[in-house]
Amino acid sequence: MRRVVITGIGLATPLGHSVGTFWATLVSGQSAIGPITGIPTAGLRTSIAAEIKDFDPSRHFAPSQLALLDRFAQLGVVAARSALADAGLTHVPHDAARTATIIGSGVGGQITQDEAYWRVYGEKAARVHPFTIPRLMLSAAASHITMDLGLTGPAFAVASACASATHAIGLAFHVVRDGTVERAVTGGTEACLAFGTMKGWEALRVMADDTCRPFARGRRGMVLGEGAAMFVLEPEAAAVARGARVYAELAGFGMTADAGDIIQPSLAGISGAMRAALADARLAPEDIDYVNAHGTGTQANDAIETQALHVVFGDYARRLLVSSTKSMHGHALGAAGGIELAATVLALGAGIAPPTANHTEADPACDLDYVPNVSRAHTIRAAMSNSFAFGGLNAVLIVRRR
Amino acid sequence: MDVQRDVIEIIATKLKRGAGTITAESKLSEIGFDSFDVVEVVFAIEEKFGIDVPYNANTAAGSLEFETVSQVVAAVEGAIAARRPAA
Repeated sequence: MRRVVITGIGLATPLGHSVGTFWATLVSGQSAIGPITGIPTAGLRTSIAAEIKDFDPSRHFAPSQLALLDRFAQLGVVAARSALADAGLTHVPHDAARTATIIGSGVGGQITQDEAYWRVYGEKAARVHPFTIPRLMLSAAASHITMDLGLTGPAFAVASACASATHAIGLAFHVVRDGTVERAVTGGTEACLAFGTMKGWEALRVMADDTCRPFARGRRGMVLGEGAAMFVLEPEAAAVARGARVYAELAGFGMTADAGDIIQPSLAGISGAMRAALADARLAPEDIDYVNAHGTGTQANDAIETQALHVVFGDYARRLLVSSTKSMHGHALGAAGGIELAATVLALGAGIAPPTANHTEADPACDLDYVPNVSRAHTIRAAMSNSFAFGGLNAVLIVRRR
Repeated sequence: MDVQRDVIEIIATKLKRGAGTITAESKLSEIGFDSFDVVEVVFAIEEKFGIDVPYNANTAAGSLEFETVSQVVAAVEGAIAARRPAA
């Protein structure tokens, strides 16, 4: 089987739109979580999120194009363009028919859906925007990325709630590795900061009202984010042949289903996914130096993810650096795994573990090294990125230096 | 309005038990609640009484605030009283 490498990263995140800005902000430990400004918050119990505040769609799309694009597709297309440019493939011929486009999203066009329902139920309007359906469909971002970049190979959307991007990237990794395609544009995108969606999250009673404090004592839950992260994957030999800059080898992908509770994570399920990723990468637990945790900041996730790290890594778990960058970019749901893979890849390249921000006090139930508040220089030979979705769908990626 | 009767009715419906098997002294942990039963019961109580219950599943773990049905009833009565302007 072929080795697969990451040669392009494209981002649209609350921590920045370029790889450089995103990484510099992450390393500085600055959190993008703050009061929501993009939608009215009257009537919301939780009025904080990590929003992208400097994204002007009209800079990226013609008005006729914008009519067809929900924010989740806008972010996805912009990130995919950046990834292709970052890989140096914008102005060179490449085999578009042998390039896959596999894009994760948890829900799809939530803002479009929210606006349409408000019109018909709230305003009693007789009609909604004619492009409501093509804007809201879960696969809209995948479709628009293929159209925008002219990619005609296998293309589809992947949904697994908070693990969507990770599943998408993992699948893309496997189809490049096994030779089904010669290249893939893959990642995740989500734009979930709509009033109705926020009310739904509020009703689940898992949202923090202060900030996101993963693994810390007194953590009060999740904080939503939004954004997109896209990658260009290609076989190592092809990347080397064309002299491409290589960020990292994408070395392993593991996935499991808890087959248990719709909300509560399972120790067997998430530890199984980590083990499967290690096996796929043919790495031992001791080969991993950094774990970008799922780390949502809920009581349940952070305690059980800690236990699972103990189960999988044994005594070595205490020597791992583990951080949850959701403390800075929020939980971007179906895009989270992409944004976190970008953090993981950049950590590997820089030899710096980004911190877990807002880590004010240690929780006895979370007894690992979470790189509290301040990033840390450390040799990172290989790193793991965890995504564990509601509904017990778990996905784990491993990257390695080359 | 009999808050206690209504709260017991809501809990009994959620847990699919006869209302007669639940009393004010019943402990929530002993009548088969899990955390997401609590979320649904809190929702039903808010809808029934038109109040807000600031319940967060992340901070409630280990809390004895709602150990028994009568404590839930007291909290609901308190919230109803707080909602009404003083007579």
